[in-house]
Amino acid sequence: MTKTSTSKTNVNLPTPNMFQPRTDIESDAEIDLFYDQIKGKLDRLAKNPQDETINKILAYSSAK
Amino acid sequence: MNLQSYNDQDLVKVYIAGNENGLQELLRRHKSKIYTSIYLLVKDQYLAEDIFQDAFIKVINTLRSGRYNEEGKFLPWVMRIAHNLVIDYFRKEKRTPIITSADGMDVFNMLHFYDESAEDKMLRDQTHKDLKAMIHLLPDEQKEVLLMRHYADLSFKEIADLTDVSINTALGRMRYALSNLRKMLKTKEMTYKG
Repeated sequence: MTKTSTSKTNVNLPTPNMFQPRTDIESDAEIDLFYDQIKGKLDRLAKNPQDETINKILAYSSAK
Repeated sequence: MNLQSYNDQDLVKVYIAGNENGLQELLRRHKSKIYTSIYLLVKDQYLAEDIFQDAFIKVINTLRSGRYNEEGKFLPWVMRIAHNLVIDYFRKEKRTPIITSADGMDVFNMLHFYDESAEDKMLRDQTHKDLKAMIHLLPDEQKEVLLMRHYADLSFKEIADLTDVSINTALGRMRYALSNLRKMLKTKEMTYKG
């Protein structure tokens, strides 16, 4: 006689944490929104080298 | 000849052919991206100027010797040179970047904003300083990706190649950098309110 059985899988069952609020995890959308908000502030940190440095580089190039 | 309409690769060709204006235009186009990335990594204006200059001396030597083979990717190539010089510096000094409040003259602070009140200016200056300090607090690998992505405008593929990691790792580091900055700003806001 052949015995048959049906395996019981938990694939579709909710895991214990499935319905817990994920307050500590940020969504990609939140991160993207935050990046958009600080882009302007980050841009304002941009700096340029001194003209003297640029002139030294150009002088080196001309002398080569 | 109006070089502003040329792409980087054409400017490199112009320069190799002997026209100094090619280099001048490349410098004008990319100096802020490269310098800001170096400056925010080393946190010292004079050191950043030196590294910027050394990077371009290497660029000039390579272009002049005909060894350049980056097929149009001029900026990532210069960023790689600058990045390696920064790493060499910290290796030589046998130290990792440390947080310091010492700073050179800040171009931003020299700008005049006539429309804002003294209080607004103080707040803006404080936010500016806070954000810079927070960037310095990020782990080096996150800071690198943030600077290369935001200031040098490199793609994640270019950043991944430059830092020898996968694209997913580079993307993850950018995400962590932003997440950490967000947390730090939140904490700061709570401190102000508290």
